[in-house]
Amino acid sequence: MTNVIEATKLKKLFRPDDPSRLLAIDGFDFEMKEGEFVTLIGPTGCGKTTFLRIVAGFEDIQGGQILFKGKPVEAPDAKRGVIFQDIRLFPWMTVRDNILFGVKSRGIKAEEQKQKLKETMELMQLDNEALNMYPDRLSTGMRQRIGVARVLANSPDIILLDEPLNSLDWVTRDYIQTTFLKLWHETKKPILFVTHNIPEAVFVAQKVVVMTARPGKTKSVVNVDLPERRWELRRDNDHYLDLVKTTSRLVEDELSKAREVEKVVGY
Amino acid sequence: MSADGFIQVKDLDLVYMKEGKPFPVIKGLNVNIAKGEFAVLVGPSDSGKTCLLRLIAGFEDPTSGEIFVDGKSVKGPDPSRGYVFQDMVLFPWMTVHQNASFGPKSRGLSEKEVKEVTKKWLDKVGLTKFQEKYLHELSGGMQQRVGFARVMANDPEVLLCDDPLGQLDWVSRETLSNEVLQVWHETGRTVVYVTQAIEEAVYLAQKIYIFAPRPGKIAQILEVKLPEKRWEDKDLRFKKEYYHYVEQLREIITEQASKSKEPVEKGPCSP
Repeated sequence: MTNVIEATKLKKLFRPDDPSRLLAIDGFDFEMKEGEFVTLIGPTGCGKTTFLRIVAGFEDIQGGQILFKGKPVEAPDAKRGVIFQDIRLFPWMTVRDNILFGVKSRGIKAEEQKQKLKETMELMQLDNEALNMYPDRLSTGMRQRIGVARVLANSPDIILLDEPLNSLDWVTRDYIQTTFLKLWHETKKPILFVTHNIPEAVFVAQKVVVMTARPGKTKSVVNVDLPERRWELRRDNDHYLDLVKTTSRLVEDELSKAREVEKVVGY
Repeated sequence: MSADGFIQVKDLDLVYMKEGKPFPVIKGLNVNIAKGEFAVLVGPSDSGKTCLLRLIAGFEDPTSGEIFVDGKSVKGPDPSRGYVFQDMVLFPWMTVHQNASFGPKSRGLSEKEVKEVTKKWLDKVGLTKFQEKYLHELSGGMQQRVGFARVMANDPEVLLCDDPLGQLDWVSRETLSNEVLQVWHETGRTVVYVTQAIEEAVYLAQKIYIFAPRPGKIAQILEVKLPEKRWEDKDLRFKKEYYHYVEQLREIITEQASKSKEPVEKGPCSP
């Protein structure tokens, strides 16, 4: 199978004009196959979100190579859908316009737009009540669902998730997690999920990539050989708990190295 | 201690007005929390957990019903009921030390007493080395430690925590939850703690109070019978007996949430 993402010897400086400043990522190799659900985890500041931004095309790099389906990533593209931690809905647009933003920008016909809207609303269990509201009135959970809907409406080739479940209440988090697990199960659309929540990282993925403290490299890869219909899995499953423990120990090990870095600010 | 509980919430109603119509947030809520208990409030989004915490703090008055703490009716905020906010609300123009000594100074303690109590709490949360720093020089986890030190320096009887670790990364969160447990254990104070994370709820709580969907009331109480000194078992977080409670709590909350449609709009106590 081909690699959907392939990074070799990736290097990223926070301040390219001053190489003596912090290195975000140095010598990072990463590959993700078509159809995989991968989580990327590591101590604060290890560069996991930076890497996701590089894949999305938001950041330039100072060394190495980043390929998406064999071609270098040069700019953002609707084929790589990003869901951010803080959602970033357009506050001046109604929910309907937010969801259809990408679809409209791509010049898709009105009839097809309607169909897309209907499909994504069903998938995210949104009802008409919300469609004409502006984002500032909505609950956090509802805003996050709409953020997800906006990206899915674009039918991206890969979904990039930057800690999108962080500040959600349990029920919404569980719902969105399940939505992604089912979507992946049915479509095998590749998903790259960045999180610091270890139990969650293990729960959703087939493969957990643990990064080292900054500058981030791959420390270890944990293969999660749990059944695919993960939303049916109980969290007190012995094998699941073993994998959470293994992953936690790897992250803790890196965290002790990162502690000193954490105290230094100035970037 | 009276049999009615150290914190006693009686027939509480909280009703806001929304677009000219009454909007009930809490309805007929009754709860008793024992002295020295670690109580955790969880529930569906917008079920009134944070609102209850704010009512116990005395930041606002209920529409009807009453709250008693140590037998006295709550009529307004008081330093004996310390509140740790999710986003800390520290003073950015003050050093760590100045932030932590703010409460004791305001209470009119002598200079010597202020010094002692500030030192004690900065030591306890591991911030002595950083006491001359300003907040922007600290990581999120360290800032939240300042938040705890500042509240604890007031020697509160009750510690009210509104998801204080919610913004931190998972590992810092686990480390700090151990520290919170140790402070609770050492001081014997009563803690009422709101969290979104069910793993954290089980790890911290002696009793978990699960809210029904809005208008909020307590739907169920889950007693967590794990050892009190949970930080001593480094593997507890991966043990079946711990996750057994997590799974149980997950089922209860999911069931509660399914009883009503998820709220589309944000609630009155959410940011």
